[in-house]
Amino acid sequence: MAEVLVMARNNNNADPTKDQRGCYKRGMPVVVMPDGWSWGVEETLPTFAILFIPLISVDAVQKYVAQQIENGVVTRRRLWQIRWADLPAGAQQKLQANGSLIIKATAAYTGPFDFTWAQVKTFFRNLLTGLDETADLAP
Amino acid sequence: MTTTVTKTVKSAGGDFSSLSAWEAARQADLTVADTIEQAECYTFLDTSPFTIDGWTTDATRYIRIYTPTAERHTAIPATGYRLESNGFVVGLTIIEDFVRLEGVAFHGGSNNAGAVRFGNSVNVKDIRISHCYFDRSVNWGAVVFDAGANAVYRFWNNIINDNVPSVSFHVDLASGTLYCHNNTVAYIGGSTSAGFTAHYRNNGGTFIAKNNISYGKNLTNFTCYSGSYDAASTNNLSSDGTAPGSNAKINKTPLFVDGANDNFKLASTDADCKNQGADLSADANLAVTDDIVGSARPQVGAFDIGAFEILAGPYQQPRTVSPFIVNLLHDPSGFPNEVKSIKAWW
Repeated sequence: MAEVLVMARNNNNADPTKDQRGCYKRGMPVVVMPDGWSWGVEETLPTFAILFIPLISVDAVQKYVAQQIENGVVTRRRLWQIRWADLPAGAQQKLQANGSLIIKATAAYTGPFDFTWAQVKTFFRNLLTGLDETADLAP
Repeated sequence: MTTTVTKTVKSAGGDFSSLSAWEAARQADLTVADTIEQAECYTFLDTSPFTIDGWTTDATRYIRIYTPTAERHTAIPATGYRLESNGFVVGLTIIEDFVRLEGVAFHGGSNNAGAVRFGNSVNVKDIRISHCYFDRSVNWGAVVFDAGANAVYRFWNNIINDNVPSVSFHVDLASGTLYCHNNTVAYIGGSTSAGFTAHYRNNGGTFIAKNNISYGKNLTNFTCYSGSYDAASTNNLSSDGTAPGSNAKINKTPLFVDGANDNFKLASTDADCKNQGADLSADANLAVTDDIVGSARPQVGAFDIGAFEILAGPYQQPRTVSPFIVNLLHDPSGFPNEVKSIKAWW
């Protein structure tokens, strides 16, 4: 039962160290909330987009809002980032138009959806390893 | 001219539904924007710990996170806006240099890693934390002031409810200068601490403590105040013999309204804290003119020690008021005369 608030624009700081460590970049998940969350009026485009992942637990998605930590020091706001510019054109258009995508990640979900988790998971990149996601989401 | 931008954080119908999202959205160079950025938080449990980083701030263009009076904790658990942390995560990590917190409650869930931590740097910093309520701080204590030697902290009118004692130092200064005025750190319970703990600790900075309470009932491997304190420290109280500075009140037992149930407001019958504080209303470094719930100081005579000022009059608000008393106060007409007479006392 997860909804993921994702940064839809880049924040920047003139200090390059601070910029990398502290500034959110487009495609970084910010918070994960349960299905049906009452989002704030500013939690939408142009600042945020929302990924709806029905019937998937918050815990299963929580890892995507972890910070990147190296040797005990935070080096990036988030360890994971969606490769926004590499998303299929259809997904980008839908995000720009609606500010949201519905992702089907379990067979138990039978409602409408835009993409399956299998289709989008490889656009989730681990910034520390440089590898894209291969894991499925547990309900 | 510097302007103030305020965004609301609410469980529904606000600008943002978590402080974490507010921070991500509002992250900016406030010196260029020439703004003070405020988050106004309303009553709910916010379960998204977060970090304040990536901004640019200065002494006059800073970040302020606060609760309006009606949305603020009432100095007991589970009231007002609360930021919760679980799973070895810190509630709020502050990397920025100029940040103020006012009236926020921090709730430590299971295995939390403390309420507030800082990023260490050589930068000059001005951090102010007031009127906050901390409870259930496990393992790493409530606030570790570790932002570097050039940091100046002002910490006043806060309550730290040490209701899960463990290996922890609740007001823990690692570096910099801490002005620590009129705070209460207390534990009342049957269990003992699992390891060494201290309510206040100076571990490497300049710690000026005035009018603070430390009370630890039934705790072992425990000291109220650990380390050395600046000579300006005064009027602190401890349940052991460690209260620092002049006019120290040692081996004392403050009377709380209902400490066993996490209410560390001072009872009106208290004698060790009531009117025993130093007058800090004109303190050059950190003037204090109210208490944790906004009541003016002093009320009767001198300042009280601790976060709470006993109100003038015979009645001190208890943790809960029974429906019987509520009805009596609201409309005593239906009560017998003997009971009506109680109303006059209340």
